[in-house]
Amino acid sequence: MLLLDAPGNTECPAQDICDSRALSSITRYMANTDNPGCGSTVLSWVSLTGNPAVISPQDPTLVIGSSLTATCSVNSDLHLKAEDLYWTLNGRRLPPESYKVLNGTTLSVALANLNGSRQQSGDNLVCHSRDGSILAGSCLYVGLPPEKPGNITCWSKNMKDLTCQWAPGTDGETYLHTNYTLKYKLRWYGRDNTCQEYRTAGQYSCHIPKDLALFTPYEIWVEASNRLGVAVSEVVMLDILDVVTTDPPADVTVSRVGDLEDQLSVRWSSPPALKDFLFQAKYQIQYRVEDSSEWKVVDDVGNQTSCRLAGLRPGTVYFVQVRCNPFGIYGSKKAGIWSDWSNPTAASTPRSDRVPGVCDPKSGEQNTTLRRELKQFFGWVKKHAYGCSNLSIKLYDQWRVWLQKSHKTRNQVGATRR
Amino acid sequence: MEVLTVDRANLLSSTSSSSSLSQQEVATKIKQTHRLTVLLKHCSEQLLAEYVRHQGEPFSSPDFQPPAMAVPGLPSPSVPPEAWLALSDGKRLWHLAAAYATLPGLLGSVRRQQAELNPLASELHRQLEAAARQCLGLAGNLEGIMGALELPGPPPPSSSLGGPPTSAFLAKLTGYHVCRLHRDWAMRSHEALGLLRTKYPL
Repeated sequence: MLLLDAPGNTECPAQDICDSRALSSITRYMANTDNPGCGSTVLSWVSLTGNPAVISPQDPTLVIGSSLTATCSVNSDLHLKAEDLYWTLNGRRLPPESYKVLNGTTLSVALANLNGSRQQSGDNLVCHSRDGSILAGSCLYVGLPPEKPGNITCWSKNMKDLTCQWAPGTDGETYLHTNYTLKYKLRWYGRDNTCQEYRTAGQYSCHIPKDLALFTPYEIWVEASNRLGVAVSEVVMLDILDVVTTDPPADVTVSRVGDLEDQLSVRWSSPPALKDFLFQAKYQIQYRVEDSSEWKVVDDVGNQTSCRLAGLRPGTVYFVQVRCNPFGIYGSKKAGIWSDWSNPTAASTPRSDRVPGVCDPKSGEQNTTLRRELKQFFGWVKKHAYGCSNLSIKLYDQWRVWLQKSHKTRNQVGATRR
Repeated sequence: MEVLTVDRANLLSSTSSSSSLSQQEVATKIKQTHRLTVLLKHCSEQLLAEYVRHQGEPFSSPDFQPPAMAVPGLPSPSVPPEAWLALSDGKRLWHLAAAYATLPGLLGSVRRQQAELNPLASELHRQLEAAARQCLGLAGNLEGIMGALELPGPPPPSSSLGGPPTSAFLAKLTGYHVCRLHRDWAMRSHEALGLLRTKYPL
């Protein structure tokens, strides 16, 4: 293991010496792998003259596919020969065929057809001595210049702010850190403004919170830049009033309409911000049954804040959502941008009590049904009629009435009592 | 003419009472600080792992051997493990206090460097900031304990830390050393506070 301390410092010195000299001057750091407990309490950045070797070029930026020749020159004090050195790139040893000894203390390496950098902090090209220890390093930045960003879409929440999204050129992979800046200016005034709040609506987005004028067109564009160059998107022109949206409607409630099995009533309130502005709203409702992913849309809701859904299935759970479009801003006939859907609200249609078919006994069964009924009747008479003197059809009718009442409460139909 | 008399007895007692906490209070402070070192130990391991992840190979390989780079002639002020345990509590606390007086500044420098090298590594930046804050907290706690035990503290660190690194690779390397030392010192402080807790039980 190559130790590069001054002689006599191969292990940490006794503590007394440390006390007097420690912290009085701060210019050294050391990581001694032989004595892992030794760490400096104060560190400083190492100056180049103190390095065991120097790689050239330092931190180059290259386009994908280009070639590079780098050199490693060892400090002559180290008594190392160029033949004793080797190179690694991101930890992988480079083939000796690509090396060339330039002089006693300098070894070069030829890299061809470089791939995009594996990490944004740069590929690590390292010069090692024969035993593996690191003598010097250089970070390579290999990538592509940015492409023109595109697909700029913007919206204003309640006419107060502006949020814009864009797409990076191609799939965005430049292998280098690419900075995006959203800029905007009023069309008729010269000054460029820069958006400050990034990533508010996804990675490629920016939010302008205030100081936006209405009824005036803005020019908006995105600049992409990295170590290899700059690219500017097309300019998008818009008036804030053209791209207004709101929060979704609030307080969405869905309830049954009495006992009606095929209807539900939906109510909501208009988004609070709307009342400040001179526009109306139009709404849209979508609904689906619980176990389906197909939404049905009700489009012609207009600007009421309630609607009745009809033609529904009885005894079924429905999910309902409402969204809003600020329409007719300041009297214009133009629509804005639809809000997000409100959170789904669930409700179920009533299920009717009638069980079809059970009440209509087939004709063949009538005799058995009647007989069974009569048997029940006489049993009942024995209990409730004292003596047979009061036995008459009236009593039978009374019994039928009583039977119906008890069936209603027990949801049983007919005379099929067991 | 009015003569102001100073109650000398009161003055003396007030100064001595401000520096001498009860045995109970000292033990509590030591226990709290020990718990802080447990947190530091855990966080510093995470920080080192997160750091090397973003620098690429060879930093992130498990057998990474950082070079020993130094300005020759100056000894390391630190103490090997065996000698460390043989030190008195006071000496140990002294070394810890010296380390934690400088670590916050160094971790701050690393964060600034990483903001340029790895601008999108927000988790790394967050952990570096948290580490600096935790070290500051530990430095404060150590000062409190040493004051309560009437132990001498180290002199404040010199404000100059030299210029920024001249190359990206050196920046990666220096950051690695800082994170490694942060972890090593966290282990040392955890050990030392553990020993102190046994001597000052609650």
